Amino acid sequence: MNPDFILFTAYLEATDPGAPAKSFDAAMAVLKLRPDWFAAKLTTDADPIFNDVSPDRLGLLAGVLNGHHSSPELEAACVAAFRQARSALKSAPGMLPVRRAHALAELLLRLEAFSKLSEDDILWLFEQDEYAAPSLCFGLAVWCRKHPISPAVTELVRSLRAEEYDSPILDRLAATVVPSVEGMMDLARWENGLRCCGDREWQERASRWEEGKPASPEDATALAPTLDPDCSWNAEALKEAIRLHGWAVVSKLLQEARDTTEHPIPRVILNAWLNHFGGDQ
Amino acid sequence: MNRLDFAHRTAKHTLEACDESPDASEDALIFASKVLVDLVPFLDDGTKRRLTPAILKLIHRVPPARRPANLAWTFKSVLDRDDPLRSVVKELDATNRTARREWFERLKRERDATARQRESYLTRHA
Repeated sequence: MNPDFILFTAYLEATDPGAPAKSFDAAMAVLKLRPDWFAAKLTTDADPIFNDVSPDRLGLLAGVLNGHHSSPELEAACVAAFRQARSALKSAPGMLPVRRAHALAELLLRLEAFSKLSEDDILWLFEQDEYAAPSLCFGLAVWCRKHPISPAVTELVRSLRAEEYDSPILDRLAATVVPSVEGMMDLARWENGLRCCGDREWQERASRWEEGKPASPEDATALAPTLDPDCSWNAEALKEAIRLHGWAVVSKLLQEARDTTEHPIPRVILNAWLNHFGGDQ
Repeated sequence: MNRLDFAHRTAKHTLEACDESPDASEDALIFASKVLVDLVPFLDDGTKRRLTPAILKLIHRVPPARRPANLAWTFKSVLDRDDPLRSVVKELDATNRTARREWFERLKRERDATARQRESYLTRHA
């Protein structure tokens, strides 16, 4: 009984472009049992896999791996294949190179190596791939944390936000890169929404307010102290925005958002952020 | 092209390979049992029924704490209500759960003992 043989047959099936969908799924179930083995094989056979396997299947195979299976060789092979897909679009226009690049970007994201892409790669991807947003916005947020943000990337984030995807990741990124009054209101809205998912007391009191019932002082006094801004879902985004743009700019936006919003809960949240992060300055 | 589908081919090969190697290592048996259990949903109904007794026999060879979990769920659609293999699956699940619980408890005892040793060392050398 040789596990390597079984893994190898699963690998052949998963990377065979002619394999039926059911066989592909079964082979993937086997590869999931030893993702480290699959990552090693992917590293040695990068070229044929990245070029011959369909982008859809490549995207599914990416799901077998995570950051633990990454290696500098695999990341380099993945970035090289991404650039090959980029240049293939010039010689053979069509959606296939873009879909392949999308699958490789997904793989880089799984390997926690999305930031290995260059600024040109990122701008190309979001320009060519209509599915890049919102699915790869998390990658873009990771990328922005590790690279200096140029005016072109700022413009990209601004335009993605203008497309109004309902995405907390994108709204957090926009609040960091291109902070605005609406952006701060959106952050407070997400904070309330995410808190309602895990905090029963918060949800009960928040729903009373959202139903338009008068905000009782008990609710306000009960909720405000439970909002520890350091544990906020958006604390990192706010800290990064302050680092990039300065407290004067961010506090002005927070104040304006607090004074503009008609909803009492976002007001409580914005006020808490204003008091808390102001204290750090 | 008329080819045997992957799940069927691999399940058959895995069972044959384990049959032919009575001295297969524990790790190889654990891997084989996981492969087989993961492939069951991809097998057609006839093959599932035909291979189930052999799969259960193989799972018996794996140490209880390391067998695939929740076998009842995997074989629910394969075995009829009155199939005697149902009780075999139930028994396997029960043994596995007990073994896993014992394993966790032993792990916890060992961890607590290490913590106590560390604490007493720190007290003595404070």
